Amino acid sequence: MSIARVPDSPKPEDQEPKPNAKSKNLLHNKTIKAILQSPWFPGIIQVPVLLVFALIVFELVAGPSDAHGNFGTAGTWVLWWPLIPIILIVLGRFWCAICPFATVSDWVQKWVGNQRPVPKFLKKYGIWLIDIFFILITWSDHVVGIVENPRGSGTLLLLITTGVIASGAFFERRTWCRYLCFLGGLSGNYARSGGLELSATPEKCASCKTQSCYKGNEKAPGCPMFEFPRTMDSMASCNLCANCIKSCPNDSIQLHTRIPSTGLWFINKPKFEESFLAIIIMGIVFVQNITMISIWQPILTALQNIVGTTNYYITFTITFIIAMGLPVLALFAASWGAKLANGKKTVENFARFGYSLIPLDLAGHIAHNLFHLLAEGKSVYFTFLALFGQAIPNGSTALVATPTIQLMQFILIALGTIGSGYAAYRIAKHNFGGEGKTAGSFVPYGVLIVVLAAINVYLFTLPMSMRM
Amino acid sequence: MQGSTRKVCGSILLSLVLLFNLAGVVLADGNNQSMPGMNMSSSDQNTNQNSMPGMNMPSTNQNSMTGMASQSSAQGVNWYIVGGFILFNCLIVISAALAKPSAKGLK
Repeated sequence: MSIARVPDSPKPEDQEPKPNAKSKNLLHNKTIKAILQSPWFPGIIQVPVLLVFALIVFELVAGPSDAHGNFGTAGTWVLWWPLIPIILIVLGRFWCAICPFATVSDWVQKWVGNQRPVPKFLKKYGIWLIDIFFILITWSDHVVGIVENPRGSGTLLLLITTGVIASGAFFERRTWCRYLCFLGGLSGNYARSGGLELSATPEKCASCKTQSCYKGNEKAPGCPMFEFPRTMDSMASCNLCANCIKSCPNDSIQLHTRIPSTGLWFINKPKFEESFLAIIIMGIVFVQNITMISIWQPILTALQNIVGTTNYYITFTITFIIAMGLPVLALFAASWGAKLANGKKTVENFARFGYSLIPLDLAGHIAHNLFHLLAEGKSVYFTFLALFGQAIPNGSTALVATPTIQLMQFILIALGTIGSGYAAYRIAKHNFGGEGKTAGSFVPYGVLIVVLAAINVYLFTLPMSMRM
Repeated sequence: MQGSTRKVCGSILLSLVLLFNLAGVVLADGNNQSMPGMNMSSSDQNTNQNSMPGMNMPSTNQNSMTGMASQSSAQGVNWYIVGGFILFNCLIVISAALAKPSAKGLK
């Protein structure tokens, strides 16, 4: 692995105090530490995950063409996709450490890797590419067919694998995961508010001359995600691979639990594109909800009458642009409202407060997919049986009744609203508390969060269609 | 392999990958015999949904909804995509292997 330049130490003004006392360092637990320092971790999980991934890709490409009977579709969209945001909130970006795409990239890199440095273009615009990929894939899902079409899902996975192989073959570390993976972008955004935090001990790092956590040593390679624990101010990129825990000669790394969403309160350098991704995810969840509920047909009919065509590409694209655009405009409007109170530029407020929407994003995402997981969960088992020639049993695919799922969805949205509202308040207090502008900065975002939550609640009251 | 050769090689490969991506989308598109929201009659949907024992829609299903993504028409394996995937990834790996020895000098 090439020795890239170690990121600069943070300037004093960047080192903002973390006001909350941290929980106990999980690495003081001998079992947890032994697991994370083991040379078998995380490889022992990567290999079975890769084998399951291979089976799923094979099923998607060569299995039944009907989504209802395809284990790949059930495994991917009924089981894995709903579990991902739950994993992210509990374990942060740990999925990325065991992701089969990343494993393929690592193996290709070990075999033929050229270890070239990441192009400057990717460093600068990678997150925008992730935004664009995410939007395009969501759009393609509806007009070409990905989720409900096994071949479409298979093609998507193969295309991603191609990108991963190319990235691993030519570029260093996990360039794909950090700068290009749309799921990585989503994971990074969600992991900011996750319940785990890895950090370094500043006093120990101050005298460190080896910087093994970044460069790597004989015990483990350097951070695959280009992070330097000493300067890391969020969990957006850390995938908890534990390389730094293995390689640090000073035992400097700490691992703490934290209350989800606390990681959003003190972001030192907010980025517009990351906040943009947060609000785009809100739009994507709206699109996914709207197109699966009973009001979609009347909306489609009305649009067809207005536009004068029944072409689904056109009518869906218009719906898509509106569903994506309205939340973005609403966040701009709230940012303009906050500008009146705190005097900062609208774009600055957008970047700073956009992160506060992540808990509501997560709640909406989990709530939407909870329906698929709980109302279609048995389809995973049924299609698995079908792999071995067993007849698919008669009966419902639901694990729990629909009203129970709806209740859970409402609870999730309530939690997300509280998390987002409180995050917006803490961001306002942290940045403008000293000037007495906390309330004026917070109120526009508080209103926006309530409106977005109300839309979510309304959408979840309507009957939703299945994926399988 | 010289630096300029590598750049040319890399550019060609990236172009091929992009072309492959485009071809994949086009082929996947052409392979869809029923598009979400396009000419899917309610009778078709009923047939599809009822044809899978054990996969019944609950009371919240939308048998009457057109415009829903429901693709259950028969599709074969698209060997163009699978073959293209294998071919291009082999090319990428071979190209990277050829370029590897001289890459040490890049640092």
